[in-house]
Amino acid sequence: MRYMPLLLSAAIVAPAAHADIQLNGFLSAVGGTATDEPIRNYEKDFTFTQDSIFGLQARADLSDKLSITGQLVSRGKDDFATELAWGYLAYEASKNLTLRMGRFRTPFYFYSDFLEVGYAYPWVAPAHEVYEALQFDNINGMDAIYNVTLFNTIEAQFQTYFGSMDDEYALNKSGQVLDAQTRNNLGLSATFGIGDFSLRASAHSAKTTVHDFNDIVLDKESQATLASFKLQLEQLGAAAPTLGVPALSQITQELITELDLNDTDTTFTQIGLKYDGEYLFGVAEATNLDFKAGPAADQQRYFVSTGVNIGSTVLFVSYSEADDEAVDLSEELTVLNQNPALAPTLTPVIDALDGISQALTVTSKTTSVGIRYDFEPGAALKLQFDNIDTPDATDPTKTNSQGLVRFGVDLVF
Amino acid sequence: MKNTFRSAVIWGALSLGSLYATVCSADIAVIAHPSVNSAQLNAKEVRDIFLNRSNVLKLSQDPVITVFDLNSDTSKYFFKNVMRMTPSKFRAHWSTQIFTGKGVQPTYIDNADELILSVANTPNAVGFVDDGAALAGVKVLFTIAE
Repeated sequence: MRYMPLLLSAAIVAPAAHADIQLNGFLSAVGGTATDEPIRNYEKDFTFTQDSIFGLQARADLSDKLSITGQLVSRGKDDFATELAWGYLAYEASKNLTLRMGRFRTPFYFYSDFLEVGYAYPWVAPAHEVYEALQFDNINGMDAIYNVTLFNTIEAQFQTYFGSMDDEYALNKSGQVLDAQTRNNLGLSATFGIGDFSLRASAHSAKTTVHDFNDIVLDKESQATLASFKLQLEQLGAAAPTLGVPALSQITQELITELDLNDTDTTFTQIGLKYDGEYLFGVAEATNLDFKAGPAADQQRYFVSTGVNIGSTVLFVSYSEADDEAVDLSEELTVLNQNPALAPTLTPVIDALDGISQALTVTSKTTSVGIRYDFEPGAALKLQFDNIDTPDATDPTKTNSQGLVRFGVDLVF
Repeated sequence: MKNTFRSAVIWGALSLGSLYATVCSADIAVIAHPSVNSAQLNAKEVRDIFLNRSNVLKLSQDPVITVFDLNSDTSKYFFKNVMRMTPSKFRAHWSTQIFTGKGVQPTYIDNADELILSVANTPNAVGFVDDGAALAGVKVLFTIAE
């Protein structure tokens, strides 16, 4: 964050009388255990790492219109390494319009803005399928937020941003961490609140690059990477005349190009509806992540959740689903494979291609029940059980059901 | 002239408020700094103000929300009957405001007299208090019988 030293020094040199500094914090301490096989970074023994978070936010008002905000966050899943999650300068151009510059939360989702503040929502964590899809929470750039009351009843908020992002990206299945970046991130979100209802829609675009895409490990045992598989494809293409299939040369070249994410046009869209009443709440949200080229699946995710408020207790049920559409990489080779003479050569390549598209595709369904108990203002206890259905790795027609139990405390101060 | 008229209105509103306070001794009053130029509010408007939702008071800056001890009976009654939510849910709502930079944390004060003094001395302040205490130097915008 290049802006930060500047922002910090601005805060330090500002006369104390003008720099009214507010400190706020949040904490989630969450423990959990997988009841069957290890899942979602939980083991069969209790661990207290994956969803535990500690955050501290400082805001200094430099004048009536100008403020700076910094947020430091330590996450269990990152070994509690402290990150400058946010650091931005905000200028209140008018009562309705705020302009910000620096590092802030990308407004992808309904719960984006307070994704890490467990106290703000009933669940231990927001629906996994939907909220783990992107992994890129924050962006470096600038935005404008416009609030307006329409027809005296609708509270509308519009946000638009421009920026870039460099981050690590963990592959869903293997957990392998890749070095990713997005450029020319551009997005718009609109939220409309009418009484206890709110409706939110957003659209985003960016150019995505994964620098070490060729290092993706395709086979855990042999540690064979995508790079070595591409070499195999080269050899197959070179052997095309020998095999008597000249078309093969072009097909393999296309595949080598396609097995990459380099400056790839990417879009993300979101729509959600929420009701938050005195006794009941309900929320539904659907998202789509689409890569215009490359082997990564078209990610289609949604979740619904509803619950009741009984005094200081909230009981809730949720259902979330990832129904990604895999990219069919082996389509053309499968046609050629009908020739029995080619089958021994092509079948292993087709299997490998299908393996790659499957590795970049998520199919899962999670059903959750849980309880939140507010034992005093600012502190809540939570307990949640998830049943996670995923297709069996060896036989996709079969479903594996696994359980995850989590409990925790959420605080804000 | 304009000023005189304004203070007359303010003092009128104040003494009316105080009169009301002496008649019904166990009311909860929503009070504001005398500079807050607003008509009497209804419950929905009070909710919108305390949840940082819309600019009901037409202030040039965000109101300074001042909240009485959340564990008190006064607060429990106010949140149940005016805000239609638990004090915890109010805190949860405000955590979404604070951690998005949309709002500044409300001021929590555990003593009624201190709360009134704070509202009386803070421009744009709005609070609520059991009006068993003397409502000096503040404007009453809303009352509910406890």
